Amino acid sequence: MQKIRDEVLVAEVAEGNISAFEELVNRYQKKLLSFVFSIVWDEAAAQDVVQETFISLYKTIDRIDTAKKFSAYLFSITRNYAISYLRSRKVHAPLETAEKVAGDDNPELRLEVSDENKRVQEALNIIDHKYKQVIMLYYFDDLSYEEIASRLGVPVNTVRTHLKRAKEALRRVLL
Amino acid sequence: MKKTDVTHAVMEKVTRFEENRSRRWIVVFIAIILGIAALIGAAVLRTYDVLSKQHTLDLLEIFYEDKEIIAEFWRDAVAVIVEELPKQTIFMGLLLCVLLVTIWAITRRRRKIVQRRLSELAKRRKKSNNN
Repeated sequence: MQKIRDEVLVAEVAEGNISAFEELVNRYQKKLLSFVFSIVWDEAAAQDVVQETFISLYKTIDRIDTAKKFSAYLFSITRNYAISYLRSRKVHAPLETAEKVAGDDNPELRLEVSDENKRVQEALNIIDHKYKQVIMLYYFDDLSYEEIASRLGVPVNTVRTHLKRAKEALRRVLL
Repeated sequence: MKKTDVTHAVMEKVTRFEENRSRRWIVVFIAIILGIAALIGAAVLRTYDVLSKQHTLDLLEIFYEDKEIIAEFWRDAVAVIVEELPKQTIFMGLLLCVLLVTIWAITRRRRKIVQRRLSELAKRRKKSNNN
């Protein structure tokens, strides 16, 4: 069966079809969770941000321009919510944030990764956030340069440069 | 990252939000429609009251008379009735009728959407209750 286009589903939701929204949630939740996780580096927070994004999306879905690419819009609002989350954490609980970013209070996550992965993750926490984000999207989410550029709203060449610098930075930290 | 599914949580919140939003919309819509209809009713009653007090409607009895009398006096009778009508009240009543029809027409699409959403919500509730 042919997959219904996102924009068609969006139009359907605006016309009152709630099941079409469920389909959108199913279609994007995994990608958004990985994407937000690469920004906030906290699984529970990533879930909260993604839920908040979807609910906000539903509330404003009748104002979305279906002539434009829906996924780009969705990732852009998700990024905004993730950044807002990080900002709010910074204001209200800076110490807690620092601990979370270091990954010290996330045993569930730590159990899932091997020692080597753990080392890489710790190294990722040390390098610049924008480099970490590109690494996560490229290696963990298997996205292409073009897809990363579209999600982060930067040119493809910037993605290439960031990835190159990220690998160099990681090498410096790990070796 | 651990495999997680936020669909259920999201759809729960969306369902709750949509129920409240749709119900609120219906309540406001019905209140506006009933308010306008009540004002139109009041305008009709006031017009009838004014005409009754002035015995204007008695002039209509001319139309029970013979054809010759009707032919001679109907223009005068109608002219008097028109003269004695409370024009301001009737004008307001007509404006309210136009407003009512306009609101009904411009909310047609929205009413359909709300109806569809509510029927979907009812199905979802039924399904979740069965599970």
